[in-house]
Amino acid sequence: MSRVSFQALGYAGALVALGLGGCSGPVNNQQGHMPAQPVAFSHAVHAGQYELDCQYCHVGAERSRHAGVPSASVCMNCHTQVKKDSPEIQKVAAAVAANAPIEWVRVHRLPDHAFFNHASHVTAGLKCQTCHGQVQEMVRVEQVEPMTMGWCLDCHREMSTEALAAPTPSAPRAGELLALTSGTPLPEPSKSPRILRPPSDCSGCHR
Amino acid sequence: MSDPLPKYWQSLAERATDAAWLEQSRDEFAEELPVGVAATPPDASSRRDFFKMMGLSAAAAMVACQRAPVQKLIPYVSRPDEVMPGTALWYASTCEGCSARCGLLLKTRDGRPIKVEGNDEHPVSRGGVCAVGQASVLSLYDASRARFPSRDCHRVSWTDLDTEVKAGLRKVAEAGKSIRLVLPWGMGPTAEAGVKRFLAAHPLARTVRYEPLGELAAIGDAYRLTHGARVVPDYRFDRAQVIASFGADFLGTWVSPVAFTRQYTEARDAAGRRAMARHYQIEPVMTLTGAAADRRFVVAPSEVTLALGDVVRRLAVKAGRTVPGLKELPASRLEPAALDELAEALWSHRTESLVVCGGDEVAAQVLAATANVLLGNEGTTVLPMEGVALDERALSYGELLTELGEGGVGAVLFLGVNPAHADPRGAALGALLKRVPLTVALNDRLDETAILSRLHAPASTPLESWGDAEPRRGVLSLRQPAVAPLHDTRDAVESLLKWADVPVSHHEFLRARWEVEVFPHVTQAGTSFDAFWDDAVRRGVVTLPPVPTVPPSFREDGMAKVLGAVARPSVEWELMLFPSVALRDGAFANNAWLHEVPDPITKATWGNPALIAPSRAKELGLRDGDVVRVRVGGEALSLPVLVQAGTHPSVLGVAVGYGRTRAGRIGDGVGTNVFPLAAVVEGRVRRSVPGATVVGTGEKQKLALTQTHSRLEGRPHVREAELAAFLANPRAGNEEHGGHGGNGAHPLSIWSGHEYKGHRWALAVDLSACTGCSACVVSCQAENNIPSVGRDEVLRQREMHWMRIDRYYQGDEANPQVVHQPMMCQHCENAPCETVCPVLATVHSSEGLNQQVYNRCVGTRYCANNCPTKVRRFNWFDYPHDEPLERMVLNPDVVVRSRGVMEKCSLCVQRVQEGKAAAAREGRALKDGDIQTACQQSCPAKALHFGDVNDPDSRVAKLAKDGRAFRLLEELNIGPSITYLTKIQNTGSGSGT
Amino acid sequence: MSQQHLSPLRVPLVTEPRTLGQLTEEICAPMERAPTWKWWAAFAIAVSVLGTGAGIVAYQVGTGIGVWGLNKTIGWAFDITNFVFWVGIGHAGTLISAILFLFRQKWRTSINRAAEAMTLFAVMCAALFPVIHMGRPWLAFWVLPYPNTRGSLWVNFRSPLLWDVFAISTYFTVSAVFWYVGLIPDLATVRDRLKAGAKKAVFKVLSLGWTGSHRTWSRYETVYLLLAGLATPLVLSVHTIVSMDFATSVIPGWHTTIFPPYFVAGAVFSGFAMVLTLMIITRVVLGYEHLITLRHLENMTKVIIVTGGIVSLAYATEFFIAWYSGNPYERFAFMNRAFGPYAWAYWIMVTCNVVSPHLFWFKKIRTSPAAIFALSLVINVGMWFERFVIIVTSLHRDFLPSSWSMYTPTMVEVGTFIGTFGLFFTLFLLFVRVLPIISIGEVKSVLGFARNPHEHAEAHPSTHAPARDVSTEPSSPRLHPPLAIATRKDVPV
Repeated sequence: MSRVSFQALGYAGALVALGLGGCSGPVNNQQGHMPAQPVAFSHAVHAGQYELDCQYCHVGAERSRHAGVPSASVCMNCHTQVKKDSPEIQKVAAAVAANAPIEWVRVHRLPDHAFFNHASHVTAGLKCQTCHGQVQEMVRVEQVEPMTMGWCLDCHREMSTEALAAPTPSAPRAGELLALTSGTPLPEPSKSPRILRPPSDCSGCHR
Repeated sequence: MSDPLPKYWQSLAERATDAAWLEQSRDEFAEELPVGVAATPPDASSRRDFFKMMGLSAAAAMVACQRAPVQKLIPYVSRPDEVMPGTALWYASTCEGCSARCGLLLKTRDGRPIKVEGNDEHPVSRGGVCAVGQASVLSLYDASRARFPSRDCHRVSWTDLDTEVKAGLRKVAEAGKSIRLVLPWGMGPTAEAGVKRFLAAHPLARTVRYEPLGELAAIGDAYRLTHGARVVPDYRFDRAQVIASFGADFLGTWVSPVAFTRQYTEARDAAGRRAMARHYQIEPVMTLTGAAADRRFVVAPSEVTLALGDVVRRLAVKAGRTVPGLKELPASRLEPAALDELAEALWSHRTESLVVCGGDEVAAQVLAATANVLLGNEGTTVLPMEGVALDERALSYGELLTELGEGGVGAVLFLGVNPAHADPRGAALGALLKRVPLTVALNDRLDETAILSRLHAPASTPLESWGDAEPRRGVLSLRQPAVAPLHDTRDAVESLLKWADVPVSHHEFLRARWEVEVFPHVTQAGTSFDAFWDDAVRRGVVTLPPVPTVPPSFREDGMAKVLGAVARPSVEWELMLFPSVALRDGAFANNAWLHEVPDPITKATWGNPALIAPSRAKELGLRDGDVVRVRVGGEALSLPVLVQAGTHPSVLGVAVGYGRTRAGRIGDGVGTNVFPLAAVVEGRVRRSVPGATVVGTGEKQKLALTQTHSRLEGRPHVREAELAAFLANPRAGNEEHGGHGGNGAHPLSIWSGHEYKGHRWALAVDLSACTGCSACVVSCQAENNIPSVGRDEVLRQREMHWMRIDRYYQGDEANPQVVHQPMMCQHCENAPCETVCPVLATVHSSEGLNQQVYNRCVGTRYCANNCPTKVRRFNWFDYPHDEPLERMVLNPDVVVRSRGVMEKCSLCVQRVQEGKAAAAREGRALKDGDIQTACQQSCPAKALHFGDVNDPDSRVAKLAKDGRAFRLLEELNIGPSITYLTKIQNTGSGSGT
Repeated sequence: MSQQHLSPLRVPLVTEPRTLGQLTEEICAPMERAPTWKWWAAFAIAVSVLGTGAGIVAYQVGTGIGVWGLNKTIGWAFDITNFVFWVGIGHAGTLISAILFLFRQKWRTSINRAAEAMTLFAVMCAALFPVIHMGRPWLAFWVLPYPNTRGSLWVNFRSPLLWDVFAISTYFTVSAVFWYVGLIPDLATVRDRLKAGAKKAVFKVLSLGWTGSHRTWSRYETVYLLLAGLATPLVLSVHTIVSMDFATSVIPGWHTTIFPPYFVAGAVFSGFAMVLTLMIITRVVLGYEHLITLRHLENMTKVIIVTGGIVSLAYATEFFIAWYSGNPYERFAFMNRAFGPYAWAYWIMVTCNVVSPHLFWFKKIRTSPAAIFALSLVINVGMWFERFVIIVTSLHRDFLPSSWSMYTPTMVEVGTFIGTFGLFFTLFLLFVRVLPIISIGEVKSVLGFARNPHEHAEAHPSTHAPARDVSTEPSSPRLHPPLAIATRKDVPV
């Protein structure tokens, strides 16, 4: 066999392996995914320029599995005053008026069989940027990290071998007084440092 | 970590301070190169090769690696305050599954009720829920419920319907005809108040109380006779030292099974109290209660009352009193020795014994009441005035039928009752109702009765509506909706109020009534009604301060007549129609969970085979599944038989509630409706029917049984001890049995064993407490999204329940001893399943759980083959979650498994993770009891204990070291995490109570 | 030269006088003539059975494994029975080829090619089952260790199923290479007989530039010997590992150390029976009675007597150990086998595997192809039931009586099993048409030269260098006085 065909064979093998690896890998590996959104909301403006705390809008991050997408009424907390005439804001205002939710396009998606809990991560002192990238610099949000199982596990294993105290989370945030909840609040996250033991068991994420 | 300031870290690298780590992190990809990159060294590849690669990669990517479809994220426009997507909200409520009215907690996720749990604060049920209560959440999403009001099956608006009903009622009143409201007994004080408002608005209206099983009516009528008040007493099994039950399945179906089960296990907690009540059961067909009894006597149905009479006769002699009518009562065929023993046991525990009687016969209830009076039990174990007061003025259903026949009725309203199915005279109802100008059904679906009515005003389910209940005098249990009505339905009481021209909602009516009737009794200085109400709704139950009651004196005048009517039929066959633990009277027959949960005794699913004694079956040459023709009077039905140990030879026992024709997609045509075979004696339905003929037909019908072998074959999987032996030696019955391991020493192992640095989860199962009621099975099914597979798949032995209750018989098959053994994944230390899976889909966790990773499973089934307890379940097909409405019940914290995947009990790992995460978030350590598995939570007997054995103070750690503790198949060196505790019995073969 | 060992008293392996050329002609004939109607008929049946089987498999993959009769207690039945059955059959080919080769059993030469092909086809049939028995066969590649994005999640090296994957794929690969290497000289022969065309081009590539030079032969023989040496332990390992699917489990009736030798003996037993079945048909249909002689058949029946004896001993030992262990579950498992609801299967197994091979003690039966044929079928049936008995009767009543259950196969399972016979015979029939089913080069080496007096006189009485021992050396003019070898196109020079 000629050298060329050997080389071709090698490539073919590599491709098969790549195909297998890629396809059997998580369907969620959408690194670089940056869809257009129905409203041209800029994280760079809100989180970057005006330094709004992430959890001002994503209220679930500390309390729930889901960080949550803010309801349109949250936007109107400010935008009844600020920049009322922008066509983008008017889309939001119209949504609130019509009681029709805005259908955002999901950027970060884990498969259904992976149970990720935002609250556990945020209260452990992890910054949003660790997984979501420099969102405060993004005009349109993009998936920066691969978000594969191996990627998650790397961090979990790293953390469990180092018995480190986590910094205290949940400093008072700008705008918290405007947060919408008035029902019985969930218990406040602990302020004391603690040892993190992220699970590396399968059942940590798969149930 | 001396830095006091909060410090956020952005990545692992940011946290790293030491130089070596930084050095290493620079060459980030030093070790693991993705294959694709490694195979294309940029400098070695020519331009042509590059293009070749590009083309191939693109093709490969297009073929195989499409991006996931676009998903939309749809937030609330304005999020309700209490709703946090991804977290559960719990609402306290009250169960409407039967008349017991247990306290519930409804778990809702993102607005959907998904699970029913017991309310620990509820004084009646104390945290337990039965299978029926568990399944009520599925009934909410029942796709066969009516979705709108209708006239002759055509949709109408509520306004039109209200107008028509009101006009109709007016017309009836003008014509001077009567109005009849057919209701169940004991609907709750506020609903009864609503009924009273309706009666007040329509003077010609009267209530008709209808109860398919006739049990409450029989008790109420008996007490009206003997005590002058139509009440169902409050029974206190926990105060009894001797319990004698004459056909009352009080652990399974009778009056308040959840509360009684808890009381019963407390009365029989040998380990805790060092004493144990003895339980006698006299019954024709093996019930859940009979299976738990220490001494069980098998008698024919007609003999139950006579045996009770014999006992009362002996008690009367001992008490030196005469009881009118007893002399005329025929003697039973039960051995006198047994009767003597029973009477003596009761008499020696005067004031702390309890005689209960099941069934629908007033005479029997009169005898039971008499026995309790003779024994001085009133005020201790029987509290006549502390129970449920029943409607004194109500007509019986028999009287309604007479009236209908006479033609004087102008309007009939059915409220949640279904006599067309559940009454032997059901077939005649249609013709009778045709002559009634106004017929309205307020049932939740167009069932057998509703279809006979012209108008249908569909009621919302209990989970969608307000209400209250008084399951025991002074205990007020609130029911609040967990979700807005899914369809265009309306609260039944609200409909009645509307037709009584009381234009308030049930909620307003309830609040207003509580403000007047309840609030003044519990007022503490300074509390407003609003605050009280909010607290009551939050807790779900309010207990009023006790008001001393004086039990009315015992009256003997009417007894002679009632007892005189009791005769001894001399017949070859007696038919015994009884409620099954899951389906009861059949009201929830469209619920797949209830059909699929195996009957605790027969282990039959999806049907009601006729139970026949082994001796009789042998005599007639009948085997399981042989179809017999049963004839009673003019009615005849074909039923498959099931040879059931512990059945009286003259009995053919069949469960009622099956054979619905208009229950819906799931329940229609499952089993046979045997209500038509019931007898009608003086206008009352009798479910014990003498004088049937039973003939084999030669046909066969397959029975969907989940357990086909009922003997232990001498294997030590279940261990038992007699009370006396146990008191002498806590390890009684639990001595090491044979096998390889032997001597309690751990067998040698080539594995080094697992190390559990943190938690180690385990479960302890008290075989002594477990009655086999199967509430846990349904709870597990609800919690873990376990599919119902249907009759055909059960026939192929493919039921999916993660939790099953093995039932074994020991001794004589005419009247065997029964043991129940809850069986779930044993979470073995050296799990045989783990070593054989080729893809690591089942692995051990660092906390001792045997994890099944569904998304990794390829389905070789090797793990299931190698599982010595056969608890693994395989998804043979994609089991249907096809009805979109029914999918709403799925628990979003648990994956729905696809076909080809193995699954099994995870010890509710989602709850474990949630409990751990909550504790971590709140910066506290986990306490014993913080995490409860679904089976444990709803167990009425509290037979299951979950916890961390690494915590020496936990309940489960203590139980694991108990003398009663044993583990399954220890000689295999599998090291199960599930501990069983020996079953203690008090049969009296030693020196027991 | 090896043939010089042959005593004039010995019955020759090729019973009729043939020249080298005639032999080549004879063996190549089926590939060079148009197929007969018999072949077409057989092929049509085989392909339609295969097609039906493929349809059934497609249905089952599309619908779910639930179309089989398995249940919560019995997770394997027909599928793994068929798998072990076919793997067992797949034993004989390489055993005949490699082990008999190493033991210098000359009589192997006329049957080894077909037996090896049979091995490959049987292993293909066998390999189908581990894939389709999976709940999610489309993810079957997860059993292969390959780098992925899931962290360190690989495969479970403790699982016998994984060992199966390695054992069977290795066995298949080595058997295929061994078979192919053995084919090379014959492929060259065929190549040289063909006229220019597509077929010739294919054979040209396949014969890898074979020249027939001494150097080529010498290297060929070294490679062949090495491969034989490599294949021999694999023959033993593959069924040893298949037996570990059961032996390493905890289920009474499976959990036993006797399984590896017992399974290997059983596999040889059934494999030889299957070779006999095929060879008896082939020798009649293709008129190879002089090449595949009664002596071949007889030798194989003797192997069957021996392995049948081992299998019988194993059955007895299992019962003895079950009793001797004192383990109640073990005792029950074996009592249940013999007297439980599946006793009929057990007694079929005993009749076929323990009783029937003893008929071969009779010379009359041993030398009657018809009787051998019938008995070979009986043994194959018996060996299928052996696997069925081991799998189903052990599973259906194990530790907890509450889970005891019964198993009944569905039409889908039966259809899949029959379908594999379609696959097997389709491949075999194609093989008969496209490749020489008897090793031309090797069988020439056992031609009855020994009977030639002047050849015999030249015989060396001493031993020989092993590598050259089997050299066919057809180019040596000394061996072929009547033929001018150099002029014959069928003998590559």
